[in-house]
Amino acid sequence: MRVQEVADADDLYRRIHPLQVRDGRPTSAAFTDPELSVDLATLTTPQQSLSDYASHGLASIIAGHARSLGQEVFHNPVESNPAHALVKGKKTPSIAKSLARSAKWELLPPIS
Amino acid sequence: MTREDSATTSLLEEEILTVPSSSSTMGNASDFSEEEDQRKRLGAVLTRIAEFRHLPQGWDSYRAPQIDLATQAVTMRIIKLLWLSLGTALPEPFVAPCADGGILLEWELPRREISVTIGQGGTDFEYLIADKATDTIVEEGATRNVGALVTRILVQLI
Repeated sequence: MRVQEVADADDLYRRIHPLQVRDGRPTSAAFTDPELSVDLATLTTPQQSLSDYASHGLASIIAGHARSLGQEVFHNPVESNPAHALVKGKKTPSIAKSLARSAKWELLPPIS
Repeated sequence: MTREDSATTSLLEEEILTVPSSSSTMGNASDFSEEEDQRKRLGAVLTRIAEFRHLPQGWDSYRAPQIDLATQAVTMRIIKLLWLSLGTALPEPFVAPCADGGILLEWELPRREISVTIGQGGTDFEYLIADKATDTIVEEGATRNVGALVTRILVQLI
């Protein structure tokens, strides 16, 4: 699989578990992993990213914003998911919160 | 479930069942009723935390570990310590399982937001206090001391 450059303007998709949603917004709880898995929007679609996870929502963050917070963002394709990328770096509470606040819903989680 | 798991689960259930009386009520019926209502609300928060134990490995659709019992028990203890100090003045926190196996506690106050992350294993804590009006960080830090953490939160909640 060819590894692509991730541009600052690229959107990154992240699935959001319903327990990590507060008042209709993703919370920082979804962005604490030091190796945060995401999908490159240029290589997938929101529906494809969310397939098999109907109970989740799908949010997008911008690669350049993650980089501005000191995170490393790079394409990390795996056999089951060629669009897979990583946002790598320690997520302090302020970094996780900033990522959460910048996140935009692509597909809302179902109302429980 | 091993014998050790069973014992820990029992301890956790005991934590849930005992939201203690706070020291804030003055003894009249209205205060008692308010305290009972708040105890019920906090009991629901503790139950939500306990339910995190049913989340399987990879529950977030990625590689999130299970939320271990120690993390849950320490989170509950922090809430109870705050309750014992503040009683009905303690706002109900939002709680959520974190992608890295920790638990997030959040309070949204009129002027401040408090975020506390109890790290996996319940031994490391990080906190963030932000000013809502200016969207700036008032304080951010980490500690391994529950008492120090509770004091930091109390200063904001009082």
